[in-house]
Amino acid sequence: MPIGWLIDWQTAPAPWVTLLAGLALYVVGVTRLRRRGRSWSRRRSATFLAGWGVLLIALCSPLAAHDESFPVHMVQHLLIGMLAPLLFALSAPITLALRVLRPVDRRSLVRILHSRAARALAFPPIGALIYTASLWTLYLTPLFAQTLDHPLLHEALHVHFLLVGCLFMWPLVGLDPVGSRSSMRVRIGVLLLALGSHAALAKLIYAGWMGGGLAHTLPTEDIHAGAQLMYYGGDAIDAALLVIFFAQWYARAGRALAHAERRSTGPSIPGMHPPARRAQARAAR
Amino acid sequence: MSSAALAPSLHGDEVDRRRSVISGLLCGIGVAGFVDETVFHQLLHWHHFYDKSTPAWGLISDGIFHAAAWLCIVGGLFLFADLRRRASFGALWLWGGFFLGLGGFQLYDGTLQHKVFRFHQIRYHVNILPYDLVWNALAALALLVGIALLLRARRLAAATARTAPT
Repeated sequence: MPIGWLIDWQTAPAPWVTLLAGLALYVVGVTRLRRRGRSWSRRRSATFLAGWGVLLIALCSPLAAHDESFPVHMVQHLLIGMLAPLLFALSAPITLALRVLRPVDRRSLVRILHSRAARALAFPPIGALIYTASLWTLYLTPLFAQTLDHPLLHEALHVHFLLVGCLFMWPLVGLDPVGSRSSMRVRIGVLLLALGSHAALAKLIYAGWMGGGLAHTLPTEDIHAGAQLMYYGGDAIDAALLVIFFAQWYARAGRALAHAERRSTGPSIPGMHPPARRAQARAAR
Repeated sequence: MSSAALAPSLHGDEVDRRRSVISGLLCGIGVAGFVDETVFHQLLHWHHFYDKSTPAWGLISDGIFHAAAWLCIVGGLFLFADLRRRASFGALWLWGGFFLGLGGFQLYDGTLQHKVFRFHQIRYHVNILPYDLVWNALAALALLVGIALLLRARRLAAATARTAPT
């Protein structure tokens, strides 16, 4: 591995400034909360830091210096558009803001969150549709070829990846109180179609459907490597997303179960295994 | 699944047949998809990432089925964990559902995807007939095992209901 790969960090200021500003906001929020004697889950802080690290690798590390190559671009897409949003959704930054903002600012934030536009965007099918449609448009029309020629468009694409990734992840697994919780049925349907179209798009790219003549001008082995990265890398992140999604369901169902057991059997030893608790209830009869 | 799934079952001693079968079915479909991916794509290299004869809509259907297999295995396992927690899963119902899902998915793959739509084949540059026969015979066998297990579960449940004190 050439040494350049290790030291060749990006010096363009925009990504650094944006990333450091985001980190500062979260850290200030957590310290302010702590100073008031209120706790903030370490797990949330850890997922935020992990997501931040993922963005740093995608945008500022030596990897970013080579993003004119299609496979490297695909790694960026996976990191910026999927992995970082998944981690940020689990770090609950909006909840943090709601807790530390001054009452007047908090009211404005709540007003924005309750606005019709925000509620529409927080409806899982809408976010998933924007996410999916923008990816299909990007790769199957000449748009992606344009981003290779225009540096500003290229940077805008990175911002776009992050935004649509968040729109997709937040309503599905986000911990923030945004929008209305839609039913499991709707969210499972959304997951099926969104994850399925991501895999399908990877295969279409592999099969030479890329727009703007790129299917002929990019080296075939680059297209194949990029498409397979998109497919299998997407699979790995999808697996994490699905485990988190169903684990959240499992925890909610567990809380509902514990609540109902408490009501039906009266006071019992907390943490007792349900069958044992039932036996206790039977013995009491 | 929304409210029904969250509604807690308080009758832990009773077997939740429907959800035992569904959990098994989901795991069966998921395992069939997983075996297809690891064994035939990655280990044997009989299947290819992309087959030139596959039409665009075949690739889209491929992608959706791939996502479905992922959803099934993860969702099925969490549903299983939930049944265990409620002590309301029936092993026979679950295994019946499992084989039904395994065989059903493989039969769908072997008949519709391979033969009717001709998306891709099991293996290339060989006489495909024996492969197709073995593939679909195994699928049918799994389906039969699943049906036999479910019938047995129903017989046992009926017998228990007759002997159980009221």
